[in-house]
Amino acid sequence: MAKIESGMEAMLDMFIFETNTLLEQLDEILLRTEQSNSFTDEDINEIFRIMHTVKGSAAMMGFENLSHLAHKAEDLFFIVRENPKIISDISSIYDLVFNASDFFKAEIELLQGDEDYTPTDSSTLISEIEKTLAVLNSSDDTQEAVVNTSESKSNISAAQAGQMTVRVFFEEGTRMENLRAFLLVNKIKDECEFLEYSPSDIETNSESSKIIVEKGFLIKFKAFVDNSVILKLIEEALNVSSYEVIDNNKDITSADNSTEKQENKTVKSQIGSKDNKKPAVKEAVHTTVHTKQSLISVNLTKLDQLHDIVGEIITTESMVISNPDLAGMQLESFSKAARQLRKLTDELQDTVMSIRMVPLTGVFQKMNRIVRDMKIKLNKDVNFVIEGEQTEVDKSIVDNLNDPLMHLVRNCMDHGIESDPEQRVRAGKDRKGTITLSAQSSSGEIIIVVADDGSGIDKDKVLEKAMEKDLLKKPVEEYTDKEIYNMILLPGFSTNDEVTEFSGRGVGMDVVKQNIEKVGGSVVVESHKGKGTAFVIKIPLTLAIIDGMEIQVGESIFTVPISFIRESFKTDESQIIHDTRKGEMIMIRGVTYPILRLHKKFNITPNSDKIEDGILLLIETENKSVCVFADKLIGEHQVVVKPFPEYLNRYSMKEKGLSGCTILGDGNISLIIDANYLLKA
Amino acid sequence: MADTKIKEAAQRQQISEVTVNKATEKLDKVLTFYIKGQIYGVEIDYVTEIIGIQPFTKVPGTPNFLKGIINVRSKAVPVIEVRTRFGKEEIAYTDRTCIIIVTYNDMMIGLIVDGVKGVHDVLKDIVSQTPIFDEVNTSRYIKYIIRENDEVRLILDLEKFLED
Repeated sequence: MAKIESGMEAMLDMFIFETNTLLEQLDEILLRTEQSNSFTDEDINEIFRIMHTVKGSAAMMGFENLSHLAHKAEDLFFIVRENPKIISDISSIYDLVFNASDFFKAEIELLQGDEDYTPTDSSTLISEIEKTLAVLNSSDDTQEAVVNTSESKSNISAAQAGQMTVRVFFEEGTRMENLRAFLLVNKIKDECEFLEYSPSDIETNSESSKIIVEKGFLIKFKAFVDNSVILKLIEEALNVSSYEVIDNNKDITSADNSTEKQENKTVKSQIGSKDNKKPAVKEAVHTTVHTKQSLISVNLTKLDQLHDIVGEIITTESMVISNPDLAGMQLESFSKAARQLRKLTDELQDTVMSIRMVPLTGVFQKMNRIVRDMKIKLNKDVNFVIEGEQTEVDKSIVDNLNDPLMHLVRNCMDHGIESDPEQRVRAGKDRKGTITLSAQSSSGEIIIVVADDGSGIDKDKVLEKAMEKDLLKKPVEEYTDKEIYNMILLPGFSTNDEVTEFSGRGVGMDVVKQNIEKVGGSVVVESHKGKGTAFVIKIPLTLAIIDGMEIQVGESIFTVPISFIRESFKTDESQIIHDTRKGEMIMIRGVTYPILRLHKKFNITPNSDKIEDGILLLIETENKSVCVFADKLIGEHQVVVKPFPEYLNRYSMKEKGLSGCTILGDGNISLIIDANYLLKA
Repeated sequence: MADTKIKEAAQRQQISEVTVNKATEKLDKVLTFYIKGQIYGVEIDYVTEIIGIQPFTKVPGTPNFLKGIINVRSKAVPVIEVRTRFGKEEIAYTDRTCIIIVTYNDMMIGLIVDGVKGVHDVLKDIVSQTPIFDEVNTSRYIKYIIRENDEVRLILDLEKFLED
């Protein structure tokens, strides 16, 4: 079957992108509302808009299964809109909508795949929704009846719903109160769906100011969005000393008549003493007003292109500025202009880098969803805390974080948190477990921590399993706690005896490690028995630009990422310790490090192989350190990392300890050393 | 009306051209170059540019014909010395030595040759598919051979040359 009708291919990308964004929004709204257990009108309308757009565009693309499902979901929310209370009673609606959202996502993934797309049947899901709809409809009728009888007696009729009457007093001695009132009316006019005030002749009749001084200025209004917004406006208006909210039911004239009585009853909300009310108002505003940013979506390849060009500009710039033709010349205005250029290119580079930076919010929010689903399935009560979700990371890294984080969160849910809450209470912990997902940036690195306050890792059990699988490489007593904990990251390692839906195959942690290492990061496990486990992920901010130290070996120039270099020093032959296999070692502050001669490793003729002629660099990775011997240091530079030409892939450069190349200021190419692999090999 | 007439005329001319050229049908154009006195060629569609010899960065752990990588407009491009690839002895570079940059499968690759000769049309009647045998097994990298005016040009099979 053809993927889609011919002529629609161009639309497909747009459809996929748009629908994905919408579904993410939907998930976010659903999670938020489920947590707060209430829907605002805004939320429901937003959900409606999303479903409607999905339905429309799916129908346009000819995906009938999707448009039908979206239509049913819309029906579901139609009922919810009519009676917002209903959804909090029936959590099955949430499950249904989440299922529908998952179905959409799965379909879109299929669409994106290379395989020919055959629509998946959505009828089971649709019939499920229909069943729920039927249940809802019947219960809806009865509930509506109840609501009608109870509400008609006491409360607001539909037309007046949401109207509010406020009596405003101006500061004493303000003068021209009628004009002040007119200004106030003008100010709130734009926010109001309905507005009435008394006295009504304020604009023309200066006598009205007397009435205002005596009885206050009455405003009856209904806001488009939220009445509290208007109250806030009134509160902020010039010369207003106080205002009071009058019982919603009475219209202006009746309120006017009973002014004296009302004054005694209603508590005057003095501006000074309003503190207790203020936070409430603010909160209401906060939840409804979403900051609207103007955004455009750009194809990532275009950004990559832009990024490449900027990289070239930076290289070309240093080619021009440090051009050998200029050596020894007195060029005052040239160097002035060159400095200006450098400033601008630096700025350009920062801007381009920042364009590629995206907050972790999206990835973190998805974890919310996983926790929610697992909470239900595992029947564990867990508090999920997200911190620092605004931290920004390069887009290419974010894409690689999704899977590892998912596995870690699942791991925490499944293994970390105790399944028996009593056990937690006995250990002096809160019944409810806590899983924390936090991110922070520190000096060129992002640190992401996934932590639980569960039972921690059982060292003995890990060792036992490791022995069973024959993973131990040295006597048990020699293993440090750190080494034992990090064993759980090994492929095929699982302390679970049974394979469950969530874990037990020993694949997850390996995925974590692989994916994180792919983006140049590292994972460390920390654990305290009885207190919990934390997975600490460290990843570089960006892959594209690094601080590098250039070193020379023979004719070749290599670049070592600064982050791996602990120190560099000169030494002489007397300090070198030789072992029996002709290996060389050196002792620094009581610790012996092996010496790795780069010229031997890379088969290059060095300028001199005498240890005192060259320089030693102490290179340290997560779990290994080595002293690298090179001819000399050239200097520290920011370099743009380029991958090796594709043709070289067949020679597996990575395993040889080289991660890429970079173009130096003079146009030559330097190879970048990958310390992790260099030490491994 | 005028338009269609012109079109028709053009079509007729095309047809006549094809009939005329049937014997000497144009297949392609090749860029020819010297390796140890012998003329080789590479189809012009692959060729991006010809540049002079540049200092290259050696890459450890690669075969000896892969001389290293060079910087071509801020792209790292691997260079292969065709001489060494054919198992012939290395010689010092002269001022005629140059690098032909070819693009194959979206990869840019430089070929170091002794010197560039020129661009030739490949006509059908002078193409021979039979491989000749010279002292080394260069023949398996040869796609076809052109003989013209007693001159033999060996056209490289880039796929085999690069992928083998």
